[in-house]
Amino acid sequence: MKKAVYINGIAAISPQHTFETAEFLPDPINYDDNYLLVLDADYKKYINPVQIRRMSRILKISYTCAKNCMQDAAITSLDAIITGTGYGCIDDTEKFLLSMLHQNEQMLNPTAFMQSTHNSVSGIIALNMKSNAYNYTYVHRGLSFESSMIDAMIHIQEGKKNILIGGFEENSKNHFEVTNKISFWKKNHIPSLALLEDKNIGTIAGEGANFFVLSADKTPNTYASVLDVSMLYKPKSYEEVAATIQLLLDKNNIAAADIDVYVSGLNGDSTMDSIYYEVADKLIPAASLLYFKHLCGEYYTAASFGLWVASMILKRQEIPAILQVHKQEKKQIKYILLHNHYRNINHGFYLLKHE
Amino acid sequence: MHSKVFITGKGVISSIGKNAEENYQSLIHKKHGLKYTQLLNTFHKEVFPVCEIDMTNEELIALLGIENPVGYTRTALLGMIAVKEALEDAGIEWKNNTLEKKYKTALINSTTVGGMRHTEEVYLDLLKPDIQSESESYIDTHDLGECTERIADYFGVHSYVTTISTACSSSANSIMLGMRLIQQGIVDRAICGGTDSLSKFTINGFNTLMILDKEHCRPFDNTRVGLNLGEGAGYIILESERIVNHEHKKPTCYVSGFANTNDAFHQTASSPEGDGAYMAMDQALAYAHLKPSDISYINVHGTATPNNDLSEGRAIERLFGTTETPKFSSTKPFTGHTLAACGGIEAVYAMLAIEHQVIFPSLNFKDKMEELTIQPTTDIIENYKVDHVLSNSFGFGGNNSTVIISKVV
Repeated sequence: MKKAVYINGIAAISPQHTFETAEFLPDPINYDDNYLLVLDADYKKYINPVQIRRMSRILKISYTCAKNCMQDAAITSLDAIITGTGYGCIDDTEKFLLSMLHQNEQMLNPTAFMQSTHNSVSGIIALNMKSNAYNYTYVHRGLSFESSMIDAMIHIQEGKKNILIGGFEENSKNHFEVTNKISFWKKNHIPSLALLEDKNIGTIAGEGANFFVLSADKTPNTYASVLDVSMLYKPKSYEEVAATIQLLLDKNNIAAADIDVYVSGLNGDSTMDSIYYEVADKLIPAASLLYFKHLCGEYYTAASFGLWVASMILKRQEIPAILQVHKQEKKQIKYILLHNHYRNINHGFYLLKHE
Repeated sequence: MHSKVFITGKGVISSIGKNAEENYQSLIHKKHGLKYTQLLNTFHKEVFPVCEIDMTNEELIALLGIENPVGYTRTALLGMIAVKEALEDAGIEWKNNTLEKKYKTALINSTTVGGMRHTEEVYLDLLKPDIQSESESYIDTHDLGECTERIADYFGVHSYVTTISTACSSSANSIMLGMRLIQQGIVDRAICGGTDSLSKFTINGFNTLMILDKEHCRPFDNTRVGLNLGEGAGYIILESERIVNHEHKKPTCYVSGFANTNDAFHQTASSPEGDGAYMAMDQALAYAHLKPSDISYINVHGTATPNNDLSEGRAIERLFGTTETPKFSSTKPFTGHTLAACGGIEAVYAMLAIEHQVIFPSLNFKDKMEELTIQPTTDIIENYKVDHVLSNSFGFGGNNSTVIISKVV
């Protein structure tokens, strides 16, 4: 991308202490049931009492996160609002679906249907912020957030100034049980913080909302710049993944040895993780290898939590021990490669730079 | 000036035809697709008429020649049929993984229903702890991106695969993204559009909002009470000027303008003055460097809900005036409201209007709305000079999209 893209504001509501805290991942919380939920924020600080009663949990989480993110970036107007989500508002979708099936399609309440739409979150952000700007929602599985990032970066190339983007997903018990049947999740309960110690198939289910303000201009609050983002669909081999990363580096005139930190989407699924270890060993052995899904769980847009982690590392120039698989000592953390994949079908790559 | 992007192919399947030619014949012969459902087992099947494609999934699978049909949703199948026609129309080879041999291609799909049509059939089974093998193949087909990947795999698209869901403006937005990706040089060409199948979920959802009509819908009519749902898919192929010149293609149309805005008025309703709609049309005209008077025909969103038509009508009057307003009509009475697919289907209709120099009628219109001066075209107008067609698609979440399709001269 020709014009620089800066991350000027960030916010994360996650299963960890990430929201409204000055610290970077203090007191990591362990979960024992393979099912992680976010720590509730004080939503009424951000949403008026009349509206809050009608809003679903994911709408409250996402809207609160978006608003806090704009406060962090100290901006009040936006040139675009873009969200990414795999399942959208799954709780309201299930609620409407179940009453429809149980009540034989009669006497249904419209609220759950209205809020079940995948673009409810981007819609309510626009509505509450009175923003007439471009408003999109990407719903492409493990590339939902990456699609949002690329769209936002194109907006900056087109001359726009400030773009709000977010990835969100909510966990639901029914959805967890149903997807458990096709081995998405680990059969045995494991402590989430020991995620990589379990060598069986499946991972742990998570959720969260992670928002960012991407801007054309650097500010004192800038966390990092985004040099590039690319996506890869159904790679046939490690070589294809490595070639995509190499192309991303070449396009941006960066050598593999320049990468200081590799933030990976390792999720403890023995059938899914080997690709990250191969990248770490063969392509960027000089980089520290980090992971984050023991903190947020797996979900379609978990890469947005990875971007939050990477942004914090670049701004603060520190790597909390809880993120480390193995650490290489560096004087400065200049470049980060964030790589996440969803079931080895959707790969997303982010090249980030310290500012 | 922005670099020019051409439309080199189109494909459509709807209740009025399984390809562009059949759709065109139905449009000019005023043959609508509305009837009671034959395929969907809903409590409302004899209450609300729908625009259903009269082919079973097995027939759609046979039409596509799919050998192992496990896990193909109706939404994916409809999308595949329309994409296939669009690729063939554009002269793009795709068999034996040749689609991206020369040019980087994006598939930008859109949908609102995705796998829900199947989820709602098997969901109660899936909630039982014991595994039901038959139902299990539809667990991972529920989300909206799954149908896109089925389409991508069938035709061999891998460079850029994504899905947009902004309710009823989804496929108009997929066209806009295709334009921007090509202009930025991220891809050379893009398959843009959307697909949605009928489902109990959407019929019941729109019914709870009390915006379904038990009669034939009547866009822009004073007595309108709501919409009829439909199913279908529509796609166009966008290609850069470089490809068009290099391959000596002779496209008939190009996308000259587009805009997406948000009404920021209500979660599911449009503002009474149509502010979002006005801004979308105004910005699309500005992008295209066109004046309102340059527009030959507006294919309105025109769902026939009291709220949409008032909002859209007022926005049109504000922007185009009440005396020299371009011809306008809604094709929803033919196809029903196909949700995420309507922007793609209506982009194909805009091309048909340009290629045949014809204006399609708005069916079922009798009485002018008391709040408006303007009224839709009710008869087919042939030999009409159609140079620029403005196509509107509006959706829940305040989403307003306008795409302008123009004749290549």
